Amino acid sequence: MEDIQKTISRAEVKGLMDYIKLAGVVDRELALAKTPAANRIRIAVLSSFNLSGIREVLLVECVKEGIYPEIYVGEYNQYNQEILDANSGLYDFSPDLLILVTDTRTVAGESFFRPYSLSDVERKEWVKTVTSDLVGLVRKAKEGMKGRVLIHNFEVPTQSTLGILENRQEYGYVKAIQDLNSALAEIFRTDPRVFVLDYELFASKVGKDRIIDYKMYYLGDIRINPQVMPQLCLEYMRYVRPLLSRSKKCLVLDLDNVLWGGVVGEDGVEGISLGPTPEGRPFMELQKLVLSLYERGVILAVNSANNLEDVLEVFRKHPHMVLKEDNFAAMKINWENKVTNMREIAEELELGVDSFVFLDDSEVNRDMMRSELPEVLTVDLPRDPALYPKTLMNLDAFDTLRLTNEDLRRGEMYAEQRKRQEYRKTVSDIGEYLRSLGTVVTIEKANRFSIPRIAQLSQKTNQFNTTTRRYLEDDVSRMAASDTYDVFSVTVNDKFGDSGLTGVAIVEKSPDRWRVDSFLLSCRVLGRKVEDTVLAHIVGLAKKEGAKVLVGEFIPTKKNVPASGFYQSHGFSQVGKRDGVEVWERSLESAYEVPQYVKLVVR
Amino acid sequence: MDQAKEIVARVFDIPLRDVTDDLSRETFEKWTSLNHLLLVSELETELGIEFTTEEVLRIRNFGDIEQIVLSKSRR
Repeated sequence: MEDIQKTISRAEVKGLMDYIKLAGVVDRELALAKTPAANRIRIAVLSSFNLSGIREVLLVECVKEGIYPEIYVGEYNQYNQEILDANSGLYDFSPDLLILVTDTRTVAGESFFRPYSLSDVERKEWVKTVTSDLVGLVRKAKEGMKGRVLIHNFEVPTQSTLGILENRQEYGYVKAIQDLNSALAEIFRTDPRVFVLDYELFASKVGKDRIIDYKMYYLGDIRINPQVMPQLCLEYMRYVRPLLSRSKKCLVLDLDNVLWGGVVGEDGVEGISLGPTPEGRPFMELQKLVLSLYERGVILAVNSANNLEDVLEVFRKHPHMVLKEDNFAAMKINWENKVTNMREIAEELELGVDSFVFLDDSEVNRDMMRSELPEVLTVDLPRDPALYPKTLMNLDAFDTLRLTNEDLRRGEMYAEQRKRQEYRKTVSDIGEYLRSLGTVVTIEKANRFSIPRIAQLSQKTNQFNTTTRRYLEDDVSRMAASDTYDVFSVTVNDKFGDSGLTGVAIVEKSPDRWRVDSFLLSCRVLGRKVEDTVLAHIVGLAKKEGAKVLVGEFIPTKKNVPASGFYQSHGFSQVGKRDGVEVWERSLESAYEVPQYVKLVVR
Repeated sequence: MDQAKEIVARVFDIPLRDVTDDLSRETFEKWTSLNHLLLVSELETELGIEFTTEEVLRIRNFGDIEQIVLSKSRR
């Protein structure tokens, strides 16, 4: 399977035709091979015009990243029927992601050419109708399938028959399309299953004069220039990646000629380029963009061949440094090989290298990283630093489908963790360490604010996770509302900072026996007695409500070794194993105390 | 003209020698209506020329392509 991925990554792909040919090769290979389930996705595409070639481009772009999709493309302009008919091919296919492509021509009809055959009042009505039709269609699709829906918004026309008077109109045609776009954005803003691809923005980026090839349009009702199709599919990939938990989390930076111009070891702090000069500004602005990524939750790390003292001097003394030491969760500044450093950063942060993005100006380093750690996304930095900021801005690897408060603070929390670990090294006694941390564990029943984050943790926690049962928001809400289940969220903080909502326990209660269906903690709070505290709370509650036995389940996976000894070391004994599920039990006669040095708060 | 021949061979994934003047839309099964449009798009991009809609509709075989491309490069 990796072979085909390599073949495709190396192939020179210019036009749509090359995609079609490559797709043929992929189809043959995939028919024979077995692909890992975690890398599979079912994508359906419905459109109101001819999107021929979309399957091939999407297939090749997915396989390039090690994703093996099954793609269903609806018949030409049958999107309404496919969605409205409960027995259609769409529902039979049951996609994880439905991409619904309609355009301004489709919804405007005659008004596309004669917008002012309608009055302003009629136009307002028209916007309402188009919105409610589309919303109705999306709702219907959601009912009929389990996956997510991605719709396009509408390209705002660049010309009007009213010419320069267009914006003198009280409710003109341009305004109407803009309104339609805002309405869609607002309606689906918080819907976890529906996303609006900003096609208007995409068209502007590509160029509205280029996005349609009129000849293709008149010859084949092709409304997206075949030359642009690959770029559009890359926009779709931004939704596909997070659906398969492929979002990158950590940006690893080289320093010399990346965060500043020149080599600090040779040029000195005064000699490097950084600040409001033609040579210095690109670096300064790049740093601002990096800081902005940090502020949206991207974890930062340094991987640089340098003397530590030289670098610290820049961080502490250079007047135009935007980034500070405090922003970084790991700093490898030494003369080690960068690949070794990268592995160590991964270990330190307890993240897979597949969640890393690597920024380095040296081609040698980049090649080495690509061949040794192909899972790392190594960015091709252009030679001219003036193009660095643009390169970073166009990087779409950090896209996620949802941003919880914890996500926003992640960069900060990892940087705090570095300080915590450095502190741990200075204290010789573990008890002393735990006491001085002043850990507070807050346990709360799931509520409307915490449910998205609980579902997110359930989806992506791999290590300390007893059963790795994956629940969606809907599942969590249902259990939280039921009488037989309790869903608990766990929040941890200490003197170094707030780790946020980092743990979940889901318990099924019957009169005698309480069963821990799921118990998971983010690995960055492990080693602080949080798991013991949560167990103590559950034991206490179960006892109080008269239960006799607490049942714990463990389903071993490749990655959940950190949770494997949990039940055994906490007084449970194994009573059986069924369908890969180990069942552990603990009598509730004896209590389980909240560990010393941890403060438990129950809300 | 060799360049146009190469593009046609590449688009249909056939050997260069098979691209003859009488390679025809009618009889060559790979020459579907979608491939026809893609072929035009490739020729336009690679050769830096533009076909009119009428020309695209007129093409029946490779000979027609040759003739249209030639007429454009003369200009």
